[in-house]
Amino acid sequence: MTITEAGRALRNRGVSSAELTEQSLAQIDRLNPQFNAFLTVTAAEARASAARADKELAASQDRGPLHGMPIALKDVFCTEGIRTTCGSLLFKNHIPAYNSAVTDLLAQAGTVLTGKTGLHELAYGITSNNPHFGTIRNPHDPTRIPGGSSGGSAAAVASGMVPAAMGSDTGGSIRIPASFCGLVGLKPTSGRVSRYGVMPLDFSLDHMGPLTRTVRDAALVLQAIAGYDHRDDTSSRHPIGQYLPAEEPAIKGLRIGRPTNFYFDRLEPEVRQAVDQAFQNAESLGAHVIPLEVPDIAAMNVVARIILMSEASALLQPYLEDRAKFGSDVLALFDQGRALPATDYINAQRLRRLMQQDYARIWQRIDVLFTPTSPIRAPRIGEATVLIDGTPEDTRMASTRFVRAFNLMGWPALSLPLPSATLPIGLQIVAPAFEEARILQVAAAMEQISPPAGQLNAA
Amino acid sequence: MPINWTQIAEARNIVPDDPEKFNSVLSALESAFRPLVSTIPFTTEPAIILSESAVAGGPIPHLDKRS
Repeated sequence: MTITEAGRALRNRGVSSAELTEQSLAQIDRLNPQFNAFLTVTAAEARASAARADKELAASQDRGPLHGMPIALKDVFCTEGIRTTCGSLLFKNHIPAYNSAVTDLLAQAGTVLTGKTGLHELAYGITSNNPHFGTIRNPHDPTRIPGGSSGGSAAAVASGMVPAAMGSDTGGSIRIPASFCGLVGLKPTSGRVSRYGVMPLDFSLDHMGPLTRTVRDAALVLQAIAGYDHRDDTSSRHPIGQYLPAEEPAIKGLRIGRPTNFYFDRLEPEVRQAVDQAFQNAESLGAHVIPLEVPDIAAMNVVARIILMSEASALLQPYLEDRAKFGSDVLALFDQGRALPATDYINAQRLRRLMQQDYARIWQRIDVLFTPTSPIRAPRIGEATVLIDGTPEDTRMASTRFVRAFNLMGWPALSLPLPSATLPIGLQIVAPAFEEARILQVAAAMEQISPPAGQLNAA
Repeated sequence: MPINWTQIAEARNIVPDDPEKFNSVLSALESAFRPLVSTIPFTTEPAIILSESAVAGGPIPHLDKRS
């Protein structure tokens, strides 16, 4: 059930929050041993929150569309009195004394926290194959990765354990798992959602956003968590939009950019076919598809990697002597980051400014940009290299190839599931800064014309 | 002349588990990055924000309630 459907049932008194929560907890009980989506289940707290939500509704105290809805948080969002591990042995027993801004805002919106979801160690990777807390599996095919780093949140939503879960995205960590698990995943604009109380991987590339089954649900969650927060130095005072798309979302006359370079150079044929179909669908709705050359995205990826490696290694440096507490893949990245000279980091941040100016010129010609979210579908667990057009490519590099640049730019980007006869495929929709409402409107229109394949067997 | 990243690492007391991969990853990254650096105009400043609270010397937001 989606948030929208459950909300309707809740207000018709067809179901209570307590019942929704019991359904959610039963699904977690049944499926978590298979998919390992949750690290911590907060059943007692969830039941208490649900009872409170029902009591409030009975007294006509309605907190809005998220009232009484079971949700989950990636285990990087601090939760007062509830273990927050960041998927790392370093924080295995870390119990924060305070809530993240997002934790508080979702609680104020009346949500019911069912627990904390697993992730790639320290949110630094895309497989969610965690050496300390176990492998998270893709509900569409448990032999495959769910993507990462927000793999637990994606597996939890895709398997029907919860209708929405929060993720974080430093180089695609919301959009990649959304693409691999057939979900909507939204990375908002930098500064749109507070980072306060979220265990960081990086200072200038981290973003927080929802993973949901539908575009409308993503809009509802964003509406609850967007806004200025003085406790986050990068938080923006830009006015909050009205994110919920119209019932009949229209995109007639919209100018959609189709890159003529980079994004279609090397990808699986199934992905190309699905994205081509999406462009045709958009045209059938009256949108104009405008071919355009985009700047050097490969160069942006290099710059973003230098910034990420430098900032992440600086952040974790005090802990790196205790090498046994790290998995080999993240340790290699931290070692690489520590070897980079400071001049590279500063020059990467200078290049970032130039690249932002350069790439922003596309918005003079188009309203939104469509790209594949990932050139590949979910790889098998342990598959370090994938074959694309007969050429081997590192799985992490392939998965992040189309998404990383938008962390560097700071622009909002959403992954929308496309119809696929095989494994899920995502369409990435990008807009200028703070135009989340535009993205959600376009995504809702696309979702109506081509809803993704039906529910999972597991769900 | 290619940079010997393993030597740089050793000088910084970093002992990578897989020196060969360590060297190849950083060499590839550096060779892609170096030409970009030469394109930066002299006056371009980095995209780093000096926050209001830092300028004012106020409390550090992320530390005010950290456990």
